[in-house]
Amino acid sequence: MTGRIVPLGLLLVAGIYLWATLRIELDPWSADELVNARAMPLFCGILLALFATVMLFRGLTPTETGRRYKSLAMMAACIVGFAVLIPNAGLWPALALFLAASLKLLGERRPLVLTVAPLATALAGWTLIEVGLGVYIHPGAWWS
Amino acid sequence: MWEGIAQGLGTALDPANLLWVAAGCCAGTLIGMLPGLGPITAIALMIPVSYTLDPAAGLIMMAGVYYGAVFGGSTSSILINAPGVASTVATSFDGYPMARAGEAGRALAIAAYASFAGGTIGALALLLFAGALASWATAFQSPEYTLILVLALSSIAAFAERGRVARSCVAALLGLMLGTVGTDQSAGVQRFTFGRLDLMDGISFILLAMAVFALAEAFHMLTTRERGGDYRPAASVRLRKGDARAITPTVGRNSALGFLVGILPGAGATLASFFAYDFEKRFNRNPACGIAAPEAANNAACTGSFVPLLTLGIPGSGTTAVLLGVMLSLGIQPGPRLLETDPAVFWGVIVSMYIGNLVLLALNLPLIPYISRLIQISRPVLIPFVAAFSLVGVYLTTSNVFDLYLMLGFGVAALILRSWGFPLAPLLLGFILSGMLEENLRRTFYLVDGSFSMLLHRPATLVLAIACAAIWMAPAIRWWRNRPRGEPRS
Repeated sequence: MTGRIVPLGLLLVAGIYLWATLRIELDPWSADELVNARAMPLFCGILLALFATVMLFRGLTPTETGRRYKSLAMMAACIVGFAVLIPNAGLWPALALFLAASLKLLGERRPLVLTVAPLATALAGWTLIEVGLGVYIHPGAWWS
Repeated sequence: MWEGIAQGLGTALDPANLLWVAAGCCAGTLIGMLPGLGPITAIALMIPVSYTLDPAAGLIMMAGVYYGAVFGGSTSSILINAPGVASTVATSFDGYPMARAGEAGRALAIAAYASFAGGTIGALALLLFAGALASWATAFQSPEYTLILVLALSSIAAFAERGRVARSCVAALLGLMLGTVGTDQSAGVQRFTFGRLDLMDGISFILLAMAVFALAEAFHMLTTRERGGDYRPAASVRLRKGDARAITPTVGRNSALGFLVGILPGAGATLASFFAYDFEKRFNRNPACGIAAPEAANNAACTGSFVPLLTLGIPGSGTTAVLLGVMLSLGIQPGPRLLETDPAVFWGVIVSMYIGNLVLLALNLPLIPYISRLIQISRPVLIPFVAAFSLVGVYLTTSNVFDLYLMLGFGVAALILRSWGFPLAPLLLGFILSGMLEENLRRTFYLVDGSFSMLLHRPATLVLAIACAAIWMAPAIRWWRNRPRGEPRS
């Protein structure tokens, strides 16, 4: 069954893609043309569906197994937190918090690494990008 | 041509550009040396930096990053048996045993000199061929471009790893599909945006490159327990007496081989290094030559892959696909007209490849014993920084939080695809070629206006069409030749 999960996923992607392709609104002048805005998506969607169907029948074996998806979920949560924090706390404080949180989650114990490395990275980023290159980045809703 | 080379020398030898090529080499070496991170990741991570430079300096820096990362990958292959990329796997076959035998410094020196020689021979060949090919390619029109693009995409299947042809095709198709998201350039209609304003301009190239290579690589390191061999420090990086004489012919023949393989769309440095190792080992058992052959070939192939990129504007590999994206973002349209419109960039990039090799040799030989200690950085420290750098890089270029969510989704999807054996370079290649293919296909249809026989009167079109057909027919011919035959009757 596991050998069919990815082909099924691909078939689903192809199905949604083809459904969305047929919903592309064409201009009257291009509707009768052979190569219009739907042509390439249709071609790609149909080809993907064909490949996925063949893979579904033949089965697919994973090349890398035994992944630790719990760590991935934790890192994904950190990234979501980072994205949520940026508009409120600003890029650099959010970056320092993201680094500290992900280092801690990945098992880093040394207090110096957990505090100094994130702060120094955020400070270096701010100095290089905002001070050095003069790029304006919104400071965040909490500070403005 | 000589005028162009002089102009290129002027651009590449500008003190600021020299500084950028040196910085690119250093950054590339440092990133490429980190286990798991290769040239594509190094280039993807450096894109935000290139945006702050003028086009010539940005590209020159990227050429340095490319070479630095290839050399950095060889360093981790030799010292800890953890090749950052497939193109340096062959180096570890003889390199790591030498390092284990206490000859890490010698192995690194052979790799450095062979890389330098391979890159130099490649740069000279590029210098000779690129201008001529670009002049010839100015006669190309949409039909030829369409077929070249089809050829590049077909080559993905032709050069795919054994047993992974279908997966490579699926990855390329996914890339083509992602390339269709956004506003259609010709008709101006919305496609696959699902009403979201964030998707109207399409998916950003930098977002996809960072997600598929940098972030997915961080996720891969996070979810696996794999580690390389023990670290073998290199005290001094020197050749032994007799090494130079032994490796010179090896370097010469494999550089030529690597350059030719590098020109082929879809082949790239990986195939070149394996070809070279296999070729050399047929008649040469010297481990020094076992390191020199793949190193010379992969560096020459890196240079060779610039031929289709600079002269036709078509990337032949994942790395050059990222570089094409960088060029387009910097406002440079590579292709035959680049030689006329921006000769300083065209020749500057070619000459800077040679300068980059020189800088790499000058910097790495004395510094490698020290900077190779970076390999020992633990993964729990490395992963958050790779993830943070890629996320911040994307946010700085798009200033859109939605892109970070999109990036997370693509990163997870890329990890899943990778776990099931789907190569990711064809995905990026498909994404980059998608818009070009659609545009040229449309123009071709307008041009031929229903009469395809006119294409047969164009010799280049005919040759390209035959090449495409040959690639498509090759698996069927191979199957026919290897088909099981019945036992002959006694």
